Amino acid sequence: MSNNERLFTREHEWIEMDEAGSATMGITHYAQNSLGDIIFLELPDVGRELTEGEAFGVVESVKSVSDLYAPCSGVVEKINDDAVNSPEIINSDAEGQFLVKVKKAILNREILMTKSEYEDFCK
Amino acid sequence: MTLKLPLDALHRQDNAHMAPFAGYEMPIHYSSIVNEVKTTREATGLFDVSHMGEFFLTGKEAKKALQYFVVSDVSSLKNGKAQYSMLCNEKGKVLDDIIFYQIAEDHFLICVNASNVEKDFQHIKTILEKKSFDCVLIDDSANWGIIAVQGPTSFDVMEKSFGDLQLKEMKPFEFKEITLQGEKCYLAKTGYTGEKGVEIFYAAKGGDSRLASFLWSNLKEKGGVPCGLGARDLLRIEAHLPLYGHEISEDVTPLDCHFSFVVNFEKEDFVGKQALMNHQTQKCELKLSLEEAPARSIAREGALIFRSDDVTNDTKAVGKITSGGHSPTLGYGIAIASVDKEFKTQDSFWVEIRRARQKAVVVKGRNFLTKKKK
Repeated sequence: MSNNERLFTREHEWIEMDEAGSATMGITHYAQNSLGDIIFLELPDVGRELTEGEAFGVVESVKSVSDLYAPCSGVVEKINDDAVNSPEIINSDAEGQFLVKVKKAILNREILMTKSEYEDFCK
Repeated sequence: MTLKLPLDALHRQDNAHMAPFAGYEMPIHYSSIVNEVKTTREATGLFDVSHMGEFFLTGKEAKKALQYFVVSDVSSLKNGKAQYSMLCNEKGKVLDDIIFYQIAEDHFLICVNASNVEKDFQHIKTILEKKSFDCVLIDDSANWGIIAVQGPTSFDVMEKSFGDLQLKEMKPFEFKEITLQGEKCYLAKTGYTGEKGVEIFYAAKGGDSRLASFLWSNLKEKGGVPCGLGARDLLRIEAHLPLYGHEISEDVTPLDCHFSFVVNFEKEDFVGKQALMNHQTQKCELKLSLEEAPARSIAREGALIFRSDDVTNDTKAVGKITSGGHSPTLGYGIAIASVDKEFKTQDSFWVEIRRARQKAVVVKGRNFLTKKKK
């Protein structure tokens, strides 16, 4: 397992660490496909401290409202304003569009899955 | 146990997102709900609503019994005509909303909500026995399915699929018997989308999917696009049509909702009449638009409503949303609300969305689409 490998949660989020200790995260293709047309995203303010597992945002589709759960702990460094302004870009490219980037990220490997583990999980 | 629709396998082949609803695994959407709504408004949507219940009421006193157990007047109903109505209990509370079809003076098809099949059947059965009406009620839900074909091009799609059905000659709420693949079907000019369209009642004896597959595949081939319950719900909200469990339920009487006109007090005794005559409604049903709220605000069921001149932020709600969603046709949030009657003439309210109060404007007119169609 390389350090920068993309990992996945049971809440259908992806997370990827970089060399500087920051992590970017988003939702998976499976998640966007289940949600359907996404029309609203509520993301945390820059500077907010996140604790792994806490609900930190909301994704609302035509069909439903779902919470976003922090896949790691850290401090919000950046949010994807394009996605907030045009949430439909998450539908077209969920795994290419990040939602939040956190610094001082602390990952708990035990709750995270590799790509192949996640694919099995979704079956 | 969740039941499977006769077309379950076909829906899965079409990548339907299936979810349990009223005891069935139902297609919620195939592609995008937004696109499915747009397709139904601009071309033709196909809806598998085979979960609905079908009763047959047959016998010399069938019509007399119907007149007694529904709130509307059925005396002038003719063969080949359908009517929308409601079933109430003695307290005047709504047990279900139904459509019945007069096949003959002594023979009726009654279409009920899937989630209420058993309740309705027991309720009607009890009344028939108590009043000794000379007629028989059969729950034939397992042997019938319904495909709704809805949208501005739906007649073309139907006639390209099944030949000349003379749909243009039929008026809304008319129906007729037709034969497809050697099986008796009922073709009705009814629907739940606010568009022109038909519903086909097809034989699905014990879940036999052959006729259903023939109908669905032909309609698809001729341009009909499969749509799920997600789109159906938004279409009916746009058209301001009630959904049992939302606008109507055992918590309200027909007089508390938009379709109060179905109640006919002129006719002789009917179940719930006395209670309804004494009922002073405290509520009114309003249509609200979030056109003036921040983009993409959606007021969902249960959201609280406050007076627009209420700035103190700590007063009591005056109503709540019964159904709401994002209208793909209009591009903003719309909702149906139950509000205290004294606020019936208000032009706007606050509605609580994501912990903030947003402006909701009252929409006049028959439904949300009248403005758009002008």
